[in-house]
Amino acid sequence: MPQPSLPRFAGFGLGMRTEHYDAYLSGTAPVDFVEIISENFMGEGGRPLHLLERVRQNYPVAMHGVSMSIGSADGLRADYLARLKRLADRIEPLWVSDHLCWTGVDGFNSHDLLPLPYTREALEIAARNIALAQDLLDRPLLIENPSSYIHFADDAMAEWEFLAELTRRTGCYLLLDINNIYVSATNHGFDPLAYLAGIPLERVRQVHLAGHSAGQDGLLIDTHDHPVPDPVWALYAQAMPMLGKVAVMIERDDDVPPLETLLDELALARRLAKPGESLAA
Amino acid sequence: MTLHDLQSEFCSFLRSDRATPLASVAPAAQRGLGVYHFAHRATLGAALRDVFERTHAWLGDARFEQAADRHIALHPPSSWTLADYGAGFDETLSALYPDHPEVAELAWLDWTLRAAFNGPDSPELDLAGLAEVDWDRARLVINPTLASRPIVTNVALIWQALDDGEADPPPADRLPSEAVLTVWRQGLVPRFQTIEFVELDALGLAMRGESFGAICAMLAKSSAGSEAAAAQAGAMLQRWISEAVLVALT
Repeated sequence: MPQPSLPRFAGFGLGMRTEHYDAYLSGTAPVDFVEIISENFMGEGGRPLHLLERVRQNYPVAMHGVSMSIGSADGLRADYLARLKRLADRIEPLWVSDHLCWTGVDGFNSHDLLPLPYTREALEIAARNIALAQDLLDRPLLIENPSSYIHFADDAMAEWEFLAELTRRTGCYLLLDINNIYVSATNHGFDPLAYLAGIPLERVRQVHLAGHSAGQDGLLIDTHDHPVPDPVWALYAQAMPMLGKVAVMIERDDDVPPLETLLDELALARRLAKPGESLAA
Repeated sequence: MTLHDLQSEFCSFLRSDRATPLASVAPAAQRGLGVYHFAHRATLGAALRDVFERTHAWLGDARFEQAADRHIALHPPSSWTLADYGAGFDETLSALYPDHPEVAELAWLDWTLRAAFNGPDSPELDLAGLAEVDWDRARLVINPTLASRPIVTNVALIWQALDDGEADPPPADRLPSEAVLTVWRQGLVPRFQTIEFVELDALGLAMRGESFGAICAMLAKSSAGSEAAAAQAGAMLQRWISEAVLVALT
């Protein structure tokens, strides 16, 4: 079923992490929106939902999920989608997003964002799953490009070609994770600018920024436990003039610093989003 | 190779003891397999440490990690939510520490408190309307987060000491007689309490839809006399009301 177009939202936000709840509850954090991990609020009741509803009174909220598993050959889980819809109907988010990945099959859930082979069959399955989720949720999805540490022998297209075809087939939108592009480009040896040139930028509604770590085997790992590093800022500064109005947020999930530190990073994100700005300025 | 076959093989790889090469992965990318193999165990281990914080403190790092490894090997995750992963960890610990029942009891308490934290909301009892209630016929709606299990140790004292960060929690000790540990959520705050079996029986009657009169009749059979039973029922009811064990009347 065709989904309605998703209005753009321009702003700069942070993830709603427990360390900073007080600022979001009081509405004193100077951010334009907050992003939640959807699954953290999909319990039946209790404090998490109670707090989220209070934060929602102060800020627009973007729902970002990690468990939809849109690339699973087994299809989507009805119980998951029902809970996700219930939360979305309750919170009225800016949008609902999840990752281009799969998390398990045959009743097993790895609870990791596992990479897909970029094959015709995987494209068919992911497109079918996205279309079903959008119908059940009654809203378009944003799909995020993943970080990956392997690629498959049978890959028939590049990740950006796979994403472009998904948007064309399903009408979904994109959550562009700049750090993930940088991490995967480094790990797999592709040009991050070729990635940007290959995706339908007009479908991007949100941008993620994050830090990463260097693994022992030379791979970069998307750990969200460091500040945004300079190469990611540089790629962001190159991407933003191409994207138009989008929502930008910084992901920090481990070693979470004081809110002021993240706000300083967010201020840099605001500055670099302006035309002609560079990291050196 | 179909997508399903590739994904099944990858899941088997994640569950295997070691990161071994997969033919489906490009030769130049094999080194990245170790990242996923490690992350799978690390994620599940972190989930267990998060929920079973006091159990972890009681066992110490080495014994907790050993127990977590055993649980992960025996219990592949299946729920859509990582929050479900600790279910049954108390049974894993019971098998590992059959002579230390406080370990499984601590794990049950950690787990059940977390479940109550996210459990269903319940209405606030209409205190003003209590005076009009026909108590003999009233049916009690019990807090939907209420859970219970028999205990044989001073687990409640140990848990509280660990939660308070005491360096020397009390040693495990057998109770004089078996009791019942209950967990529920009052408002937004999970709570627990040790009760006697007769109170569990009363709660069971209420949850099966029996009237308060039937509960009083049951108490009368197990008490020294009707006056003692009435006093017991009154005290029980008063506590259930004040602690939000009772959330509504029908």
